[in-house]
Amino acid sequence: MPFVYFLRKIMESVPTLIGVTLITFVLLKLAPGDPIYSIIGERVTQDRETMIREQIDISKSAWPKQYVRYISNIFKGDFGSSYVTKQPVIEGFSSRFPNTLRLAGISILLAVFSGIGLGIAGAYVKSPFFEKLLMILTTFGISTPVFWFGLLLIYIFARVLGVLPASGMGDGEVAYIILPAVTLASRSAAYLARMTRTSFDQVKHARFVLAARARGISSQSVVLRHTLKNALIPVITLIGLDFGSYLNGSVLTETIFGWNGVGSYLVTAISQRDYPVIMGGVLLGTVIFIVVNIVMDFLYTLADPRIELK
Amino acid sequence: MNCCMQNYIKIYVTGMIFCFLLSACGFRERSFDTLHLRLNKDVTTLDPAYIVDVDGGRLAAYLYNGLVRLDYDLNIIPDIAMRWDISDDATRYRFYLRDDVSFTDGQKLTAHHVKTAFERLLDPKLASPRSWIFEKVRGAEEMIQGKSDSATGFVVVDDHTFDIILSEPFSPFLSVLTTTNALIALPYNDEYVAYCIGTGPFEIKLWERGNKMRFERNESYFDIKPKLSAILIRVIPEDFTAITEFENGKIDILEIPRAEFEYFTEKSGFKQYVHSAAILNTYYIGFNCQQYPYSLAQFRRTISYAVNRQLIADKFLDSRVQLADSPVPPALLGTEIKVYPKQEYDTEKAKVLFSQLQRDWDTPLKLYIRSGDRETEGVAELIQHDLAKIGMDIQIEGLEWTTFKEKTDVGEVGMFILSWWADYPDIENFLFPLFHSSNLGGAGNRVRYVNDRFDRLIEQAKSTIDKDNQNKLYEQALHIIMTDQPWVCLWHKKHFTVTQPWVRNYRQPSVHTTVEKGIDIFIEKGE
Repeated sequence: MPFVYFLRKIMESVPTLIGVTLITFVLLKLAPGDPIYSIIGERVTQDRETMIREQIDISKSAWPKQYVRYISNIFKGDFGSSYVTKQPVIEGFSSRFPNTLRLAGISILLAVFSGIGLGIAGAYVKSPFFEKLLMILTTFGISTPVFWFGLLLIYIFARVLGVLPASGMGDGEVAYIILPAVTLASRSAAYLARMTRTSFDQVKHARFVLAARARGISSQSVVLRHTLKNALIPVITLIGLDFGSYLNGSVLTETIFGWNGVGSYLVTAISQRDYPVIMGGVLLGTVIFIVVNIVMDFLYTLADPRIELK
Repeated sequence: MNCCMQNYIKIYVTGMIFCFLLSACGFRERSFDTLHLRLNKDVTTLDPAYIVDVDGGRLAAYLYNGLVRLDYDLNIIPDIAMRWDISDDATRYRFYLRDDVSFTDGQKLTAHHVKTAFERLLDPKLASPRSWIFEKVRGAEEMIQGKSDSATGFVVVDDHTFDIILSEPFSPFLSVLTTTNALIALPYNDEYVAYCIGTGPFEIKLWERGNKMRFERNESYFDIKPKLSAILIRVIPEDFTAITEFENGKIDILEIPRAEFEYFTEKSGFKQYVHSAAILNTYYIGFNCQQYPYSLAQFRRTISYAVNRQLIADKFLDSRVQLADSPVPPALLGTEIKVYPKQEYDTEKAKVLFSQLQRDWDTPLKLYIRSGDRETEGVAELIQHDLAKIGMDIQIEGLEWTTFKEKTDVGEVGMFILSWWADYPDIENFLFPLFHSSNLGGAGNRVRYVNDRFDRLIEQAKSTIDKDNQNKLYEQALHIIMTDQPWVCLWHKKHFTVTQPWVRNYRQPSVHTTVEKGIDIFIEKGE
């Protein structure tokens, strides 16, 4: 049954993908700016410019033909090459996506552990001090701009204490991912903490929790097996949305920490009007959200067996 | 429950701190046989046929050699060519190549390779945006248009003698050969490689696009071998992060960000390690000379008198610029060429001139700038303020870079702030492309200035070999420009960098082409 569900979801996503590419393609052609000016530099005469334009097929008026060609090339596995760097789009994304995945994965884990942990603690620890602390921390996490928080972390841990690197990815050492991951996770963690706490507050007085206690089940088990599972549904939605957006690249975090992910790649491409890369990025982003949604649907069924995949 | 939760929180917090400490252990120290550099964005390519950006040109100098190159004083010196002869009519250049030059793949360099590398630039299939550098070579145009497979002006005399024949005399030609795009490189056979095989002091060993590059010393380099064993170039977009990396000793040479200029030049302990150089560039306000009211010389002159460049330079740009007396940087003018009339600041004169204008244009006028460039935005606001003082109301309009270039190239904008950076160190490079009527639009003359007398003078000057005559012609041509004022010349921007105390023999070049090859610089770090 789940297999049929997933297959149907995948089939349904094909028109979505075509629609997204068509809308993006048309918008790019309508938008002001022209990629030729990112390529030619200075001292190129009008004749030479026309020649280069024809050779790389970037005339604005011929977009319907270009779109059909683009889609048919995709079915052949050819996503085109960057106008500016000449690098094949597939290569550009495949070299950066693992970095984005690593950062997104660690960030979401960090956000889940710290957010849900704080949320549960907030729901059960009845200390005015802890409640205030939680409120301050979550407000700080939600309202602090990412770039400012990132710079603050660099200042403290790289500049003043000198215990962590300020930027780059090193040769894959864990130290390099800590500051970007903490920066990226901070907002999600704050939201998750608040949502988990609210959700727990609603669930912990439910009859089935009282019943579990009445049966003499240990407090720990009541929290982790009964309450947590039932409080998770809205939290899973939030995690899914955040993870999807992390996988599409986190431009600010990547820029501040010199993290070579798809976000900064895409933003550079947008500023250069590098259409093949932008199209590739939009396609990738769409696929990511489709996949994340399917996975979320599956997780809902795990958290609450009453939900069925139909 | 509370007791259980407290234990849970303790375990949780301890676990987090433990993970943090454990992960921080993987943070390694740097090596001091490698020079660490920073780029704020990755270069687009290191294939000389396609390089159009300053950083690309700077890095390419480490990997490739040209027939000739520039020294720090901008003299043309031998590189792969030991010496050269120029025919009396200045149309044939004969280069005698060194016989000890090898590519990093082991091939010996011959004149055939030079021909292949140069013709690659003209190959229509490659669509190189820099093919114009050889437009004076005989047969180049035919090759660019696909009418022939080879340029007749590139002649292999023997393995180590190479001739270039020009279709007409062109005095800056040797300078043109010092540009990045005239570097000699062989393409790999792969379908896509963003760099080529070179003969330079370093070879590229690693390029993780958007992240880092590693150049290692070419042990078979024909000239003085670099003292550094490698150069590591990291892409760090954010200035604050780069400064932190510099202060932590992880970057050796840093271009000083504007916001931190005062900190490095006056406050920090790096004051004595700040280097500056006058770069061959000119910032200007350009007027579209084919659009009313910018087509009126009196209108342009009014703005020229009204703008207080000195104040902007001193108070806003922290004297990081040198005021421009003409479109041509003083280093190229020398003492032979006089600039007149001078551009002056005189509000009263500006008011008088402005009152004499009919002022029947659609108000307010617009000053176009590139959006997102905070420095230019500030300069534009100060210019707006200066013009308001004489009663001229202007609006500032920021456009994204490709849109800005498109609109200036097609002549849609009337007044704009832009800069011109030298391709090669020659006066011709600051006059012919920028003001000759054959270069309207993207070819350089964005102010769409047309003056037959200027055209004739500049054509004569660039084909004149006699230096004195040439200087006289350039002086006359400059006089026309300074009188008509299609530009309000603003300033020549200086370049400031700071180095670590352990960096030795660092010098800043005034053009980012073939000057700095990483041969002299080294690191001396005590225990």
